[in-house]
Amino acid sequence: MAEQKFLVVDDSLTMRRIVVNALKAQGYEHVTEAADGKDAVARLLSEGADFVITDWNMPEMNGLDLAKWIRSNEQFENTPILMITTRGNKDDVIEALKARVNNYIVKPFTPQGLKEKIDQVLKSVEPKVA
Amino acid sequence: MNNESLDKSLSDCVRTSNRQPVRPNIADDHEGIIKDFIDHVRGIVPLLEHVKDSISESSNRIPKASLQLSKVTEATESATVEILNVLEAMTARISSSEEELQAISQFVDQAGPGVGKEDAQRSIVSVQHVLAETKDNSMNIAVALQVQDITSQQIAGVSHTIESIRLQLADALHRFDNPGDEDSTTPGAVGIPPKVMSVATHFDGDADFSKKPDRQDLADEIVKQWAGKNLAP
Repeated sequence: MAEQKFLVVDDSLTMRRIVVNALKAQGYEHVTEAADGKDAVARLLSEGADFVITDWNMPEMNGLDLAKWIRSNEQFENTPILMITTRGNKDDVIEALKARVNNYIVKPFTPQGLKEKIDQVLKSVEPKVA
Repeated sequence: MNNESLDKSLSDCVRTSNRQPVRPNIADDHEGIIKDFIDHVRGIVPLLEHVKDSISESSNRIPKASLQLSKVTEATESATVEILNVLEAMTARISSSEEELQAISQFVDQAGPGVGKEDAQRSIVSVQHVLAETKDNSMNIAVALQVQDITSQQIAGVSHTIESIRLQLADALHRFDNPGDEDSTTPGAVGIPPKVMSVATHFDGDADFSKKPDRQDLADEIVKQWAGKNLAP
């Protein structure tokens, strides 16, 4: 579990720090960051990632478009995606699920809630992860 | 439209109407009514000028208000980062202290029976609890700092609204000075606002800092239903 490499994507520096700290408190040491979807794409292509945690509203490329890009890219199509966003409407959640994110957290989140969602996602994709 | 142009319009109106074949003097018959109407319009002109000046003054204040809002976001982000720095340093110190305490605890456990051993063990456990609690509180503080991200999105929403209003006011002002101009998108013209404002909206204007579980519960229910629907044969 601790070997999973996380990519945290959010245009808010404070949010990235909070998510990264929460991940490290759970024992995940390999965590990288990106400030928007475009930056995330560059990092995925150069460094890869085993799990993507992304915000929705971001400049350059938002989280929804990032998720669509990931799913359309053969190299990353099975990478788990967890969306963490302030958007909590039913339509937003459905739109994200249509883009094939694995799970959805509405801000503000708790460390326990984050852990639960990560565990749920990892469990759901387990057969596909070597 | 000024008084000179109003007078000219009245004269043209009278002249044109008097040329009509059916009732050549229709304008003469109603000249009084038309004059009253023109006088009424003349009275409105100063009011419209006052409205225009008010719009212009309000519009000029908007950029400063928008700047103040962005400064608020910058300041809160800066303060939040400082707090996170302190919390991270605290967490690192606590982890280090926990390790040292664990080493001391093992040493005490391995030591032979002696005066104060039990007291020492109790103190160690007590301190370990305090450290764990402090660590949890640090994490809770960090989580509460999510308010900065959420409020910055709310502020961005307000700024966006203010900017939209400014552009509409600028459009109205343009029409005051150019009443016949329906197209206010002359490229490169100073002060001419675009009809369609293409401002990047990378914020959620409806962001809400609420710790109530209902929004997450709704998302969880939708995810669960979606998974069930997609897994169903």
